[in-house]
Amino acid sequence: MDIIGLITILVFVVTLVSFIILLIPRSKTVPKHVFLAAMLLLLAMMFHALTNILEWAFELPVFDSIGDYVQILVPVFYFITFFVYSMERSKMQLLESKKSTELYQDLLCHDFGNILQVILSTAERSALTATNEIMKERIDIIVDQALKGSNLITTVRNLIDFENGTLDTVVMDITAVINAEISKIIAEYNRKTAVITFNISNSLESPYFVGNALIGDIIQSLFKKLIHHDLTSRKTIDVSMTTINVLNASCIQVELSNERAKIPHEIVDSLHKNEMLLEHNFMDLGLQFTLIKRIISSLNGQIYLKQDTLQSPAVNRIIIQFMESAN
Amino acid sequence: MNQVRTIFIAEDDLYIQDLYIEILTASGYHVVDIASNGVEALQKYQKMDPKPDLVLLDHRMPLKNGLQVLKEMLMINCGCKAIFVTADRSITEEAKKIGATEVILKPFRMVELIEVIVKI
Repeated sequence: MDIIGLITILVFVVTLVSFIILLIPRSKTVPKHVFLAAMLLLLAMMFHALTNILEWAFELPVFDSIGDYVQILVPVFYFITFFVYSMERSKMQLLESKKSTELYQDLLCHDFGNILQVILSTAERSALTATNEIMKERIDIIVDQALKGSNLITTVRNLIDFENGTLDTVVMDITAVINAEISKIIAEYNRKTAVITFNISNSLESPYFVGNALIGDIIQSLFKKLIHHDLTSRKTIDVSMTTINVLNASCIQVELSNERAKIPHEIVDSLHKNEMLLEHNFMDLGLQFTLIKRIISSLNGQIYLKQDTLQSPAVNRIIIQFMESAN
Repeated sequence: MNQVRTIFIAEDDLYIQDLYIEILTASGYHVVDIASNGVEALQKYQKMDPKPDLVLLDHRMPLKNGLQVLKEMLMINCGCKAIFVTADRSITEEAKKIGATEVILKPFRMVELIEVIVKI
């Protein structure tokens, strides 16, 4: 028996053992296609070794041609197995990393929730005994900020759910959403020097549409954009809600405008290009247009940015549309 | 006065424990005991006689989380009334399914907590 024969027998035995081991029910973490690719590789290797043994032991040249084919198939199967395994490993690493990120986000949200709870409750407790008006006002500010922090945590959680595709959709009343957000904006800004007035016109046939928990954040972010890009101290936002017909379907159209707001074209471009803006100038205005567009699109809605006059160098009208829904 | 008079608190954060005691006491409730982790909460609850009218139960606690504690408390006393307090919105439904009387999301205003207790 020569050395080549011994090696061939060894390859055959090792491959057979590997094959048997693979056949034993294993951890469910091994994906089916990786398992199948490995089996094919081992089968090819076994067959190749077997043809060599038969040829060597019985001097049967009939196995020559089969052996040649198998010699080609072994590296092919090897690369298929390697490729599939690498892909699966990357996918699993990505999933692991996603899980870790979610865990950290969850941890952050939880601990922040506790911290805000202590701040909020301590402020409330202090308010019970505060007699000084200035002190009471300052405590109110702390309470407001803690509640804002709480809303931020909720928004982040909703965004995580949205990205994971687990954010529930519900039938909502657009007028209720807009009124709630207007109240929040007035409470937030009219405490300061800025005075914001809302003019509302409502000619909706039905206010119901399918939305999600981020709709309030979207409306608030859009209001904030129209407020922050208006540099005057007295700001007026027009809110118009109408029912329109798009391709024979009833839609709710909400138009938010502030004729003195000048939203830069970089922002409009980002919306058209579907790119997130990372410059600090555009980051302090709530949810970015690109994200807003993604959320609205996921609800089969649309968003447009328009400028009021051709002379104006910037945008000051925001139009959003949602499909009308039964209550 | 509503039905709830005695309250047992299971919360690991010491600041929040103090706040609960102060606010609940000021609102006329009697805090019978406090536990700082899940196992302590169960041990104390098992020994309590009579059982408190209400348990204020935090979710994320050392040794055993709120959901596990709630399940075991309901096995000890199927009439156990518990307000499940959590900063994790995703477990709200599960807590209700297990048998939480009410679920409150952190952070909340103390007035909200009192309103929920009054309703029970």
